[in-house]
Amino acid sequence: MDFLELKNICKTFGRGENEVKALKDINIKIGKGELIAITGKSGCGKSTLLNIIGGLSLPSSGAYIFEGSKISSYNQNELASFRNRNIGFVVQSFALINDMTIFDNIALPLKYAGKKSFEINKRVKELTDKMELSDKTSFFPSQLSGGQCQRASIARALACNPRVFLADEPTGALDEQTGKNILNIFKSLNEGGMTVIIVTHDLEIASMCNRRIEMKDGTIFNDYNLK
Amino acid sequence: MKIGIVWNGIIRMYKKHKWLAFLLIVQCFVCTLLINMIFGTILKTHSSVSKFSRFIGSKSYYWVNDDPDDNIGFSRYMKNQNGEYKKLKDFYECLKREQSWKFLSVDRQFINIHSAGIPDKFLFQYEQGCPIESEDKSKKDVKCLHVSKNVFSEFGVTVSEGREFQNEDFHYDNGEYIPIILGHEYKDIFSLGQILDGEYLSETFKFKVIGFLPELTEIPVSGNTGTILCDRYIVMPAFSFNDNSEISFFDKASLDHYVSGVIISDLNFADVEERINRYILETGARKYSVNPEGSNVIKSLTSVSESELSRLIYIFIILTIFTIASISITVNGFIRENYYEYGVHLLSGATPRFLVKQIIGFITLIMSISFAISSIVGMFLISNLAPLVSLIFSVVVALLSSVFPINVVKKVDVNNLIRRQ
Ligand SMILES: Nc1ncnc2c1ncn2[C@@H]1O[C@H](COP(=O)(O)OP(=O)(O)OP(=O)(O)O)[C@@H](O)[C@H]1O
Ligand SMILES: [Mg+2]
Repeated sequence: MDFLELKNICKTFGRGENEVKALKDINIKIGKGELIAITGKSGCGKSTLLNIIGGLSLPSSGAYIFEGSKISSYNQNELASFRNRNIGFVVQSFALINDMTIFDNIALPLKYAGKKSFEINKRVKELTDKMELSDKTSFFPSQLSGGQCQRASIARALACNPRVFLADEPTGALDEQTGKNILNIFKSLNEGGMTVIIVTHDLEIASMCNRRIEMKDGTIFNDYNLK
Repeated sequence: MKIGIVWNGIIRMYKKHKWLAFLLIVQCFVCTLLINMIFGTILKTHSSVSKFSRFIGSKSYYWVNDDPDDNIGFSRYMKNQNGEYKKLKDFYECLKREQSWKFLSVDRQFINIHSAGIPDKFLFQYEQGCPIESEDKSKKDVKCLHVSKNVFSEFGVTVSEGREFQNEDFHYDNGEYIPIILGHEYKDIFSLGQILDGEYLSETFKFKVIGFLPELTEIPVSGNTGTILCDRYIVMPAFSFNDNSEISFFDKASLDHYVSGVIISDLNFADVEERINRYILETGARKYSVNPEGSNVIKSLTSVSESELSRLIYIFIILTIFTIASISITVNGFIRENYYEYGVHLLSGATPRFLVKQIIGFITLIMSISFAISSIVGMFLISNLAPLVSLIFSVVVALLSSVFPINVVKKVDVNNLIRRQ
């Protein structure tokens, strides 16, 4: 059984004249532990696809199956708990809350998962150690460099031990070297068995992945294994 | 933990918008206080109307007084030409004896009390803005009501301290004290059993404080639409001299006042007037008239406060609509401003319900603070029911002003949030 499957997924935004078909009949199967890059021109539907996989939005039609459960028929509350338990999400802009400390930002998913204070403290410490942010927990995002912010947002994404790690242009706002470091983190996560999907423009990054899905105009143009 | 994040979210929202939140609280507070005032006014009107109706029942209420412009008649009476005094006395007896009504002698006067320590608010005509000032600062012309004995029983007037008037209080023997019952506000000035020197209708008397009226005691008075509040009045018996061979100035002046009063009766105005005129004719007394305005006393009781009430209600409605709109719009603004942050929460596993809770929580906090302040203020200033009225009002406003923001939150597209930075 496939870990994650998209069947005839379509996503339409707007109505009438403003209608945009962002995804047209997408079919993908993804196995456990894959490291995938999704590439394509701006506006081809990469983020839209990633949001559906991450349970942030629902397809207009088609089915999204995750480990045998039909996510596409979940309601908002079920989706929220699906995201909390299974998905780690990282975006280009880091999505950190500016007036919360790094500690509180990282602790957020743990709080939503209903964890106790001591568990939260322990888990945040583990994560900040791993992301080399131990001395930054009481800082605010504006006091951190871009790379540190992205590491904090990765720590938050990892907080609840997600099964799938999704990254939308994770290195877009970073310089080349910092981007490489971030990418190495993803690779090591993947080596630990996590399924990682990265949306990127950067072909060099894409070439480091095991599988590359190329999109064009809301469809899958190419899907091939690199290794 | 989950309640914790909602609470943290509310506090952060509050801190970020301190001044706006403060203004909203002030606005809600003013509205809540207004509804309390309206409620208080309605309650007061209702209770004074119902108290009044309880005492007069389905009967009508008329007042009797002389024609204040009839100077010739009055001076003839005071000179007791043609036995005018006896005629008026007969007329007075007829009024009291008549079976189809109750005549209550009650009228406003002033008495001169020899005490420098009486504040101006007790002076005669103080409320009209032209208090009578005596030449001698140690003597004060203060407001006073003389009443016949049945006034207390007919209008359920009681004393909060001391005793009520008894039969013998209405008959005066030379050298006795005149018993007086003081309005509530006199409590700070005089005490029970205290003897006061004074003059009443140019006659010198010693007055003795025998009781105090409860706060907010109201008594209907001749020539007055509705009741008057007795808190600043001295109430004295409509007494006459026991043994009096010679007709004195005091006898004439006091009788003239005692004939002014109110009639409570089942009869309609025409019948009452017809009887009064017949008695005047029979006794030959000078002209006294009966006035029907008093029959509308209940209406006037309500309508006095009605105009003031409707003005309050208008202000209240406008302000409440304005407040609900301000809360809705302000909170809606907060939501738009926080789109990105909400996206982050949703990304981290929050449900849209969390956002709704945070919005409701924020509005509830505003309303709770306003509720707490207005309950306390209202309880001291308006009525004991203030907390209840404030609570109901706050809940209604909170519900109404949540509708719009909650709808906005419900329509938030999770997918859209993150891209909006
Ligand atoms: N919420 C939305 N409402 C309307 N149209 C949308 C919405 N989200 C995406 N679209 C449209 O869907 C199409 C795909 O958008 P998407 O963001 O998935 O592109 P992308 O491949 O991620 O582009 P980029 O590389 O620039 O991030 C675009 O034409 C976009 O305008
Ligand atoms: Mg994109």
